[in-house]
Amino acid sequence: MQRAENPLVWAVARVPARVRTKLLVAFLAIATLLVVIALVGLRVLGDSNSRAERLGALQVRVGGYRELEADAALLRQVLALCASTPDYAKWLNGGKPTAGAPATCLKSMEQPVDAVLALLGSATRLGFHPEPDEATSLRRVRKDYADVKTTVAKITDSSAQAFPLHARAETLSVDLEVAARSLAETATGKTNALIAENRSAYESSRNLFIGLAAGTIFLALLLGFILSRALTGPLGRAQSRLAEIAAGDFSSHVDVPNRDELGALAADVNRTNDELRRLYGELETASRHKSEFLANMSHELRTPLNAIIGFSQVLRQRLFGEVNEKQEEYLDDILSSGNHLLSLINDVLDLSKVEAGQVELEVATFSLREALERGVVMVRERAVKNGVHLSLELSPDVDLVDGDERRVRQVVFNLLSNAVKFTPAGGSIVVADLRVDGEVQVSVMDTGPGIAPEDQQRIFEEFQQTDVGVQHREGTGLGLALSKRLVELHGGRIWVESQPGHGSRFVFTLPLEQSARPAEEHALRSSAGTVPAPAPNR
Amino acid sequence: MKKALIIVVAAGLVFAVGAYGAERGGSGAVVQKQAALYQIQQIEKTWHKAASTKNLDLMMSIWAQNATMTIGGSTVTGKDAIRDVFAKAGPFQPQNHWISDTAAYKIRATVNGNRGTLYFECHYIDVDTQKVAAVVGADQQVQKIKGKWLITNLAASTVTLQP
Repeated sequence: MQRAENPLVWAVARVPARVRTKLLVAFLAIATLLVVIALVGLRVLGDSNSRAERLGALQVRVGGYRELEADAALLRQVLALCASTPDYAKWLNGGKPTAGAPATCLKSMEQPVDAVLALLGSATRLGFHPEPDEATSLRRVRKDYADVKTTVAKITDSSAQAFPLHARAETLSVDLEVAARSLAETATGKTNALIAENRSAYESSRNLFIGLAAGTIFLALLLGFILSRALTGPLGRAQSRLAEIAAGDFSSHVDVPNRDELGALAADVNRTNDELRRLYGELETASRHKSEFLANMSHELRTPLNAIIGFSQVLRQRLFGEVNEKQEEYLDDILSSGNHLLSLINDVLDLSKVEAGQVELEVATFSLREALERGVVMVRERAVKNGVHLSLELSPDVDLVDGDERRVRQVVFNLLSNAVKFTPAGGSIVVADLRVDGEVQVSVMDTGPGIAPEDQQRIFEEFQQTDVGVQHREGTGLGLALSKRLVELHGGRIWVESQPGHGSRFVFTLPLEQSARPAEEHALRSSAGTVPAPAPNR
Repeated sequence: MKKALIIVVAAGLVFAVGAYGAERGGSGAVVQKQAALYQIQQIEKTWHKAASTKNLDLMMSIWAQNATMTIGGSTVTGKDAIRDVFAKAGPFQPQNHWISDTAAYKIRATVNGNRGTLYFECHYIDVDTQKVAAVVGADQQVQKIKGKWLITNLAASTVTLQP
């Protein structure tokens, strides 16, 4: 991890805590924010409920005060109906002197006035508790109401007393109405203020919640980003490094600054890398020494063995005189054992050269068709002797390929030898080639005993044979291993498809880079007489 | 030391600006109320000008559309009905030469928001006889409607105010 990549990610990675602890802390932080949001929400809901209750109480008060105001206005109107001196009559009557309402007018309206006073009296008995600042105005209302009631009650039939009392009642009624209105307006003002406060509180709460929600989302995303980078980043780098190690690259280390399990994992990966590099180096050295030893020893063994085989053949051919029957039998044994030993040594030598990297292919264009035909010819005699039918099924669009002809023929011969060796009398062997997905497939199919699935990989390793192979007491267990190496040197693959009791099909491929040229070209080459020499029988 | 001085000066400035703002806020409400009272009292001026010049249209310009008027033992509602009352009233008769006036101590106004009260007594002087023809009083409810203070209710009142 590069520190410059993201300081927060780097800092979280450097925290000396377990991954579980880091995840818990992150979730706890988000959960805390959610709890804060919930608490704030409860607080806001509580405030809103409190304001709603206050608003309801205010509306009840406003209603009560408005009723008081209306009753006071009604009282003033009723009193005004009798406020008619001769001057009013004169004013209304175009300036002509006219008799006005009598001073006893109000007395005559005793019943409606009492009704209004009763209304007002009931209105002053409020069904709620006024606030302290309203109490003063309410006391004034109640006092005016009581004074009006007293004044109206004092009005007599005597005009001398009626007019001043009437004027007094009017003044009080005006004062009463003003006081009642003041109460109503005050309560209305408080209601409006509370509504405004409610609106403002709603906007504040909305903004608060939007901010908190945005903050929570941002924090959650940030924590998610940081944790994912701090946790998955090292995992990805460790995985990449392991893939490189699996591919045989032990040259570098994974760089993880974490102080948690991931840091420990990266350290283990690095230790594994170092240990594997050391072991691989040792293995390479040992393998190289083994191959060099085998190559040298094979060479040293083959030299005297050639002498043994050569002189045995000379004696067997009686070039130095007659041999008796017993001697001839022993010479055959010496020759047979010598050839077997030579074959074994040659295979070991080839295998060692391949492993030691001393084999260099002599790549050239050659006719695969002819190579296969020659391979068949080489084993036909033995196949006929064993009662095995041998056939070729060659594809017309496959012929010339690029490769080391001698090595390819060696592979074909090995596969055919095995097939002839393990196919019982009356069986058959089919050699075929085919062009598949940019490569040439060569197959040798027999009707032999087949190979168990657990043996199908093992038989390509050195000195490994199936149980049937061991029972035949033939072969060295090196043919398939050598064939595998040679095919892989060509960039191809080799495998077997088999079921016990149903025969086997050995297949190897050769890359089709410049191969599989048209058959016409093959015809031209054949007519030119280019025929490769047969491979030595191994 | 210099830093502390700067802080003290800054705090003083903030305090002064705050106090000035509060002062402006308080005085603003008072001025608004005084302006409303002045406009309400202009109703009384218009009343007397209309009555003295027999200008009925001018008189009706100070009434709200659905105003009520209780005088002489009855109540009328609406500007048309009120106009009829004024059309028959003494000050607006062609043969009368009345001048209307209100003594300064006989007027009283209150205001509360966009509503208020206006009480005044009218002294109608007959120019021809050089005598007071009539003295009447009225309690009025006024309201600011579309930016103009208008009478919404008038109740005749016994004249009571004394100097």
